[in-house]
Amino acid sequence: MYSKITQLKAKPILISLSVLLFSKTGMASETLPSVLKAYSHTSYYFQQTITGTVLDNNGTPLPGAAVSEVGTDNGVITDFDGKFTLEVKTGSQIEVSYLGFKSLKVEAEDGVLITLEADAANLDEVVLIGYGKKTKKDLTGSVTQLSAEDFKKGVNVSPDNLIQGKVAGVRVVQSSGEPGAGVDVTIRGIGSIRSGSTPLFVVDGVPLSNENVSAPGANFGLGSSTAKNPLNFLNTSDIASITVLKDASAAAIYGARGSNGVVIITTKQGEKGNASITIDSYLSAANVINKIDVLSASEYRNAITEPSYNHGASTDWQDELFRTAITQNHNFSYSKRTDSGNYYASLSYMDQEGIVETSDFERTTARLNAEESFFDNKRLKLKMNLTASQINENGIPNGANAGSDGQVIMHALMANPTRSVFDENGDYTNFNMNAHYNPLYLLDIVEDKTETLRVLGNIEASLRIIDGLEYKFNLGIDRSSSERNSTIYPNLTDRTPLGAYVQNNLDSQSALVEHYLTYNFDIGKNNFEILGGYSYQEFKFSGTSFSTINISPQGEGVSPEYNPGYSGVQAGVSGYAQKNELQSYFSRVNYAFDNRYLLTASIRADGSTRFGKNNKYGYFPSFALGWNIDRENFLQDIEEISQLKLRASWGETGNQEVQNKITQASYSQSASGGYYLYNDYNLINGIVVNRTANPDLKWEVVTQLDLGLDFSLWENKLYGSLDYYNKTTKDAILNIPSEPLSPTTSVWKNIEGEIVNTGIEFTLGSQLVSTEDFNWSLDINGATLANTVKDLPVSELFSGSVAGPGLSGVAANIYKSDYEAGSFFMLKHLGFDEDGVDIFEDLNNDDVINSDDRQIFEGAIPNFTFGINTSLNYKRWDLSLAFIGQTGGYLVNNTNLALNINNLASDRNVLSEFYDAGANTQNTPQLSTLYLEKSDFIRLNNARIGYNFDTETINWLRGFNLYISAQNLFTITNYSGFDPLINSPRSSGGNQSIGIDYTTYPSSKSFMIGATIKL
Amino acid sequence: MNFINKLLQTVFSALLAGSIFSCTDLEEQVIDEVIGGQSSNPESAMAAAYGQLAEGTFTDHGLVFGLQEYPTDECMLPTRGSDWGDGGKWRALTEFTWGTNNAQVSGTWNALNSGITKTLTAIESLEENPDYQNYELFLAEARGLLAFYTYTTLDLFNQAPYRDPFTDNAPLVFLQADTEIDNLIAEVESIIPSLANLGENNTYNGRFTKQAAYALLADMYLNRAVLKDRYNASSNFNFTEVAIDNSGNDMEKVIYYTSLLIDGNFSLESNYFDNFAIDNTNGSEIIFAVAQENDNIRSSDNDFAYMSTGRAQKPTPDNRGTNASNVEPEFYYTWDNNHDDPRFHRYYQYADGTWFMNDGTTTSVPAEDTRPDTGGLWFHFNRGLQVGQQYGPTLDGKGGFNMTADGRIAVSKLFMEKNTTIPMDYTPDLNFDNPLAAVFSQDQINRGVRNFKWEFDPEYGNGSSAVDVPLYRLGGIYVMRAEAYFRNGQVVLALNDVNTLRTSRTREALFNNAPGKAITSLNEEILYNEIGFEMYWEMYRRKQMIRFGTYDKPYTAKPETQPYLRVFAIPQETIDVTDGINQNQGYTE
Repeated sequence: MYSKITQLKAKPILISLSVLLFSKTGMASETLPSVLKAYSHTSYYFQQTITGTVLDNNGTPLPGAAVSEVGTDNGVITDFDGKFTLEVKTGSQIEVSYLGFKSLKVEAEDGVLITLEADAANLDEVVLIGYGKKTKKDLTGSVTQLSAEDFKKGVNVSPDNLIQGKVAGVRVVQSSGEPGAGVDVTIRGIGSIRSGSTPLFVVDGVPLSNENVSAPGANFGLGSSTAKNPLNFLNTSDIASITVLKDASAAAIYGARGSNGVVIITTKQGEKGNASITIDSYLSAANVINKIDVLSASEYRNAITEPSYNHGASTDWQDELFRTAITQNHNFSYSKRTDSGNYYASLSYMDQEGIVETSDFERTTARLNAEESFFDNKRLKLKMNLTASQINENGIPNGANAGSDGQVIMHALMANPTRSVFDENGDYTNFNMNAHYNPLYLLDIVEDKTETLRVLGNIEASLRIIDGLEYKFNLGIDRSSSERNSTIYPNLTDRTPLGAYVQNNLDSQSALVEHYLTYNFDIGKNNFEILGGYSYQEFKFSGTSFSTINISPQGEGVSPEYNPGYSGVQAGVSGYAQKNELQSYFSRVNYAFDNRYLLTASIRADGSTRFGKNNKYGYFPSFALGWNIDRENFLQDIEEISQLKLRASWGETGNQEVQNKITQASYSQSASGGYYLYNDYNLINGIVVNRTANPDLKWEVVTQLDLGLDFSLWENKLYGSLDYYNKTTKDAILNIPSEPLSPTTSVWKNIEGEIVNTGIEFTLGSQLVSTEDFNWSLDINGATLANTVKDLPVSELFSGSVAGPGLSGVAANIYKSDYEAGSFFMLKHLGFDEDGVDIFEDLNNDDVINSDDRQIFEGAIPNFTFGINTSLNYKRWDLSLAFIGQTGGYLVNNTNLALNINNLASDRNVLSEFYDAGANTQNTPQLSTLYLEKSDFIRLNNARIGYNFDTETINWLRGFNLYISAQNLFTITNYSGFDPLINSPRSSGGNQSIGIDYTTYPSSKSFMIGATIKL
Repeated sequence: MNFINKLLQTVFSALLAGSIFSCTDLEEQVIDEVIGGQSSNPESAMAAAYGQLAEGTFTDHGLVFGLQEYPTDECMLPTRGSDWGDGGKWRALTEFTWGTNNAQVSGTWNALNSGITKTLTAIESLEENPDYQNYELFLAEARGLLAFYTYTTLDLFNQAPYRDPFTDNAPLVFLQADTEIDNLIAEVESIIPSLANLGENNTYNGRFTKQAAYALLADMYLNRAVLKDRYNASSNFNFTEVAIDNSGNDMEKVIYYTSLLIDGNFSLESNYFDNFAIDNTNGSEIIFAVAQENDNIRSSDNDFAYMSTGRAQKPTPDNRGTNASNVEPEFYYTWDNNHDDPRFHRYYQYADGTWFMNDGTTTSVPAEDTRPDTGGLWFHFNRGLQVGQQYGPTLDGKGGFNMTADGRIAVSKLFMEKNTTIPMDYTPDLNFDNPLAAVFSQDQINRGVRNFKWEFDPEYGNGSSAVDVPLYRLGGIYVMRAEAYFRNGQVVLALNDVNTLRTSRTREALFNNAPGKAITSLNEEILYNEIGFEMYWEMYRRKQMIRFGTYDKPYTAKPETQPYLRVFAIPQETIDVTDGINQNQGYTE
């Protein structure tokens, strides 16, 4: 699988990478093995020595181009000046090839000057794979690579957002609209019941831990904001490419971390040519994506029967809470590529306001990437990537984990519109009810500040031992430190009325050491690439938390954030420190015969401290075959077919994303588990057993089969891929109830049973128009997904806890054999009777509607997701549009459930739809299909118009581009919530929730204006 | 700078590690916990075994309390408008539709299982430390506590897990009520010599003493017939079966053990509600209790008071109730003509003499008490059953109570907090729209008489309490003996015990401290009602109803039900993961 090609060729990244990987056969060596040369030399009588120069179409010398004598194995590569010397048979032809350029055959003449044309054929593009790279045509796995121009445009805080709608089978769903909020990236469905289906992210060769790096927040009963995206530390402007490894053949080299797919991120390097400075700035204004249709003040006055619920004012609480949020982002970088190396340095600053008052996200990043070569013919290459980022955030008192008292957004939606924000004294109006507060007052009394510093650096060394044989070393450090100060000041609610302050700290660190060898050689038409390596990674994280209560009022004395000891009573100190290690051995063989038949086999042995004594190591094999049919004689003469390839792969990957320590029993002595054992009533600490040991615990195993077809027709007028996959999870790790008399009531176990994801993915692209003045390209990607849980050893598992009063312990998701993961379990709502009373289906006909009448409904997972991307260029204008959409999925609209008709009987606001439907205000809120809605939508995710100024007459200015862009401009959907593309984190019992919308922070739509200046 | 130093250190050490190419053995290093299955500290193991009594097990309204009370005719937790729907798990307990997947049923099973597990661990820990100074006493107590947890589990679930702590690798077995009840009785009788008398060896009523053993034995003998013949369709249990030692019958054993306590060092409280007050520690009636302290260290439960209090009934400006559980009409009306019983209701008198009459005639009370941790004013509601229109303090919107001009707490007519137009009128009748569904619509959330028998402890929020929860107290011992006399044909002696309870309690000064009145005759129905007057909302009702054959009958929000519902289902999640366990009779997945 791959994404659209673009007409912009000779990407800098490709050029630099191709120093390592050059030849027409895609092998990564600088010269052909000398053995073969010697062999070829003995075969001919009339030899001549020719020299020549290879240039690109700008006349710049191309170092590293492969020059070979046609029909032989005789060849060399060009030097730094694009020059070569080759002994050839008199009168023969030479072929020159270079990645990203069309190969060219010319007569072998001394002093020949060869100019290569950039090649639009996408299958020659270099694609990153684990521990290496391949040209697209040599790939056997399902891999999609995006480069900077393919990324999703607009305000994107983190790199995972960049691939939304761009890669078939990859779903990017936000957990909330808060700036910097977490993002669920799922590749090819839900492979795990347990929470933790995030793919492995590898940044410049360093696999990242998926653990949170920002400190958790305190929950003062209003919820703490969702986990922030750990990838926020990366400046999206620094990113050169993102590669998604989807099938097992591609991902198996990452073994126990590959089962949810792998996303390889590379950052920019210096560009060829003169040193350049790039300044990129934008300013955007965002508003809530839409407002929830609750009753207005006048509608409310009409709706109520009880006059005392009319408090006299007219307030649109959503307008009060939401604002037009301004984001500014500035990026400054300079870079250069020399003959022997390159550097790229950048600084960025982003200041994003949230659309909810008082929330914001501020980030500063710096990056330095440098690469240099040493010794003969670049025998040794050293490369360093270093980035640091500082993120300062202000949060609001909300979160999906709010108790039955709800969180700020819900309070704003539920607030009686006839109440005023301020009372006659200018104070916040006190609603004087419990679990029902003035939302703006909540914003005022709570402060939540987080500061997170993260540094990621790695150094790579690559040493050519002999031609074709390279030793590589990679050392990486990832370190972050986060402090969060959460304060609720003394207030007039019944939620912590005397105030409280909590400081949470989180430190995490991982260190990576890798050694590996690659050996590339040809024997005749047989090409081999062999990889063998060792990897060790250690992860540590630790945290502390302390809190005080009964603090001094807001604005009096010293804020506890600056001096926690200034006022209040200490109320608890806790902490933790954990580490885990991964030790791995991996190997891969790529074999190609005549560029027609391709075979890849790999295996990784992964050892993890997380697993039980009896299962320390897991082994993850994969096999893949590729057939470049277009290279076969019978297709050679069919001009319509530019590329045609069949792929098949099978492999196993693992998932080790479980908590540390779960295989080991442990106990602690604690006051909470103790008792007043003697008549002095002193508390004697009791033994608390924290876990039941399971020394047999091992990884989840995902077996995946992939069949793929890549094609390019009519000289790339139409190109694309088609993949079928079957991805089956076995040995799922779950925290399930333990047998009676176990030390704890639940235990982590690998369970029998399977989760099967199957689907078809397609990508279709076309260069519809390509003229000098006008270019128009279009590409479409789509994926189907069918998910089934099979043979669970337990009757069912529940998750997806629904929020709201009267709904404690209600689970919306059910995992049951032969049903889709993310199926829903609830009453079926048939409508309202003449009095507006709910009618539910009485499943067992016992004339009582209760929990026995719940039914299973499928399901949260969309059966089809798609992206449509198009770009037009007319002279200096460019326009690009990106659409995304999905069908066949459902959402439980927990936000609507909280806005149920019953609110009208209790001095709160209600969803207009329920009032209009004539629902009886006495109906009790129950989870039913009344709140189950289709999540189908199509959205204009981004639209952008740019103008590229003519800068040719200005010597110092190389480029000036001005653009305006709109994000989430419109969404066509019947979904009644803020946004159908949402997944609120409402997991319970460690099982993930799917398809619940309990809006903690709505999405936004935004408009931006930006400029890119190149000096 | 520190960060950079650390970073540099890390880089260099990692470089070094890399160059040495050392392999790791992948042994997980746990640095923030002590690893191991159990401790060899028998004192902590004992504390944990006792502590499980309070880990919600006998103190949370939704565990043993919820199973022993919500299905009965004296207590329920209905859905109230937008509150307490919770997926129907509460009303299922009232409607007898809990099935095999009710979260409260499985929560109770797990809590009791934890009690058994922790007690077995304590026994193992003692076995490993035979020289421990309290070895013999603690071992006997642990065995007694194990019997208490096991008996409660057998009563509710008909089966209880067990693994012999004295044998290595002993198999997990499931004890069955009909056979195990005799073993439990024998076990408890055998440990009595090793137990302390209450107060000896630093024991108190929070420990399993000789007296706790007597009470447990009386309880087990009283219910032995039921446990042996659980599903008897006509509730025709043989209460006078020969006791296990062939000396007398079961009822005579009950009389024997209860008499040891009645003739012992306990005495009935003249103020009945003192048994359930914040300062009930060392109460004169309490034989065995779950000790609770409101110390903000060990968690405690205020549920038994908090649950029945209205949301707008505020002991302090920062406290509230949940407007949830209420008594059922069947039980309420048994008090007809007995409203002057001291156990029915008690007015609160403030230090300046003000009575809180709760009828609109008291318009203010002195601001004399404050919540210790906040300093907020503390309003004392009356105790016992609360019926009719309620009055109390209201909030001033500035974090305090509305006050009178002379600095007293103003008392006003209360309205429902979630529906501020509905007066807080606690009606005895519930009148559910669907008589078989315990669901109130929003305009009915006031209904149901509330029970303020348990004192609301406002300190540290609504959830924690210093009220010790009596598991066995002298009043309950009297009713056990009365029932045993009655079933043994000694009706006069039974009547004597009932009247002792009635007349030992006195009313408040408002009624001249008048003692309760004796009754003149006793039949089964009167006895049943009298037991209810003494023991309501104390986790006994389900057992009483089964013994008296009233549990299967239709009453509020439930139809006539099958005998299999006299025990709860083993949770399906346990069946799923456990070999060798069978679901209880009548339950199907």
